[in-house]
Amino acid sequence: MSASEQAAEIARTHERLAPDRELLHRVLASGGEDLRKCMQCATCSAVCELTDARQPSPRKEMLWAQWGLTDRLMADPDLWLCHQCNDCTSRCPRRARPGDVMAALRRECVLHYATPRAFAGWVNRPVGLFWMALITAALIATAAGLWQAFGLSTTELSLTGPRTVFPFWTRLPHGVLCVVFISLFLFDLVVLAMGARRFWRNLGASSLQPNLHQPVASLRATFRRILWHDDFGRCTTSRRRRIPHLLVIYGMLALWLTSVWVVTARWNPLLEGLVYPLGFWNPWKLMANLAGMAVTVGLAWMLAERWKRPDMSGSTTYSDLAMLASLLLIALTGLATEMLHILRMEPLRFAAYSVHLIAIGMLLCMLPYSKLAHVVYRTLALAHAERTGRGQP
Amino acid sequence: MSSPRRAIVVSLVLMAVPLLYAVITFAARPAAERPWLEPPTANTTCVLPKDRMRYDHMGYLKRLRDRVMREGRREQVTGNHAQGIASCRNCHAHRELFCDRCHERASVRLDCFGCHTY
Repeated sequence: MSASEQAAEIARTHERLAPDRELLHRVLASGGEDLRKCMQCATCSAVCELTDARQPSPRKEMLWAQWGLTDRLMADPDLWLCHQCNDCTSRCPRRARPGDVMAALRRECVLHYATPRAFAGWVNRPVGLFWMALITAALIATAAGLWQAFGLSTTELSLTGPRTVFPFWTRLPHGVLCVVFISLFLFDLVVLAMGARRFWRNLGASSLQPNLHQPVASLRATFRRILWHDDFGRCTTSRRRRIPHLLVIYGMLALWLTSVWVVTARWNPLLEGLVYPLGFWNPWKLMANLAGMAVTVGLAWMLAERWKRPDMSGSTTYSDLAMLASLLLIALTGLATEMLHILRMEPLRFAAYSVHLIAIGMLLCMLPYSKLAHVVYRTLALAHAERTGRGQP
Repeated sequence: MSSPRRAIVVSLVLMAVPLLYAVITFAARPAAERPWLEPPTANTTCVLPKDRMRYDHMGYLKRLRDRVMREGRREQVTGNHAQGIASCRNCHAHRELFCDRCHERASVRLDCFGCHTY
């Protein structure tokens, strides 16, 4: 073989790597500080209950992260097949905490696919939370101001007919809340859809396995998996996380349904003649109260687990805390508003409700850049896994 | 079926209850009977289109009141409408056969006619 043939052969079979050292530093700084202790023994991959048998993780992800192979990591479905059982972390002989490294890499993945990248980075810094609270408050205040200036609130009040309206609600009427929160929700949907599209394409392009099933069938299988939380059940070390996660997601689902119901009250034919506020024994009220309590209990449980058993639940980073704290703030201020309403403690009730609204606005501002984006990315990765038969022994 | 599965099924069923409740009460609700109203005596248009008026007559009256009493602008209460709310009588001759019929049906109590004769 001549020298030129040899060079051509090398070019054909070898890949030139483009290491991203920034990635390593970001992972080291966001919960994966023990990454460099990894010696590639593959104990983690051997003990993992959720990984694919042909290309097991998280050993390869540990290596890719050490080498800074961003492109491979960002198109890697195994990042999201991991539910951080921490079986790997508890058995790692070098205490390199692969579970936490995977969590840090998932965070990088969310940031990688987020659309205004600068905004995404900024939102994930502690100071971002403070500014976002201010931005949300300013957004609601501006909308309310415009609403007043264009005389829309008098129109709206006259349309609601003769009934007692507190001064607070004339400043912050139904229409303003609908406009602000529906536009924030649409913003989230657009950003997540853009990220999801790119992620799905990259998953398909870098897949080493052929597609076995149709996308719709695999999506259906994925929803079944999410519905029962089967993957959590296969964990060994932190098997107990299944219950609080179920409480929180089904509670949030019920609260979201209630919100949709209340928001559409004006146009919904099923709600004709609905007198708001709902009575205590109204089925929607009962469901929302139960759901609020489920979410609170679930979140308190998660925080307690992190506090009491950090080895099982993984290291707690800023993004974990920000998500848990803002969800807990929403649940608690919502319940507090209701209590204060029942007690007729008017100014305090409005204060609690304002904090509640601002917390929801904050959550919606940071949703596509936060840990909550796993709703989309993990679903897609699971769908990809179902489609290619990945992760099934 | 393992125990979390049963709990998930139960909570999903519970979540469907309010929606079913709304659908059932909607389906079971009798169609509202329209009260008979005295037809207008003059065959002219009202101050606003009929649908607007049916939906928003109270808002219209309140805005008119604010304009006249608080801003001193009387451009809408001239000519046929010079008598304010009493001008409605030009077409709707009897309060008992027009205003009161709907208000009684809808359990709406007014304070207009405590001061204004009609």
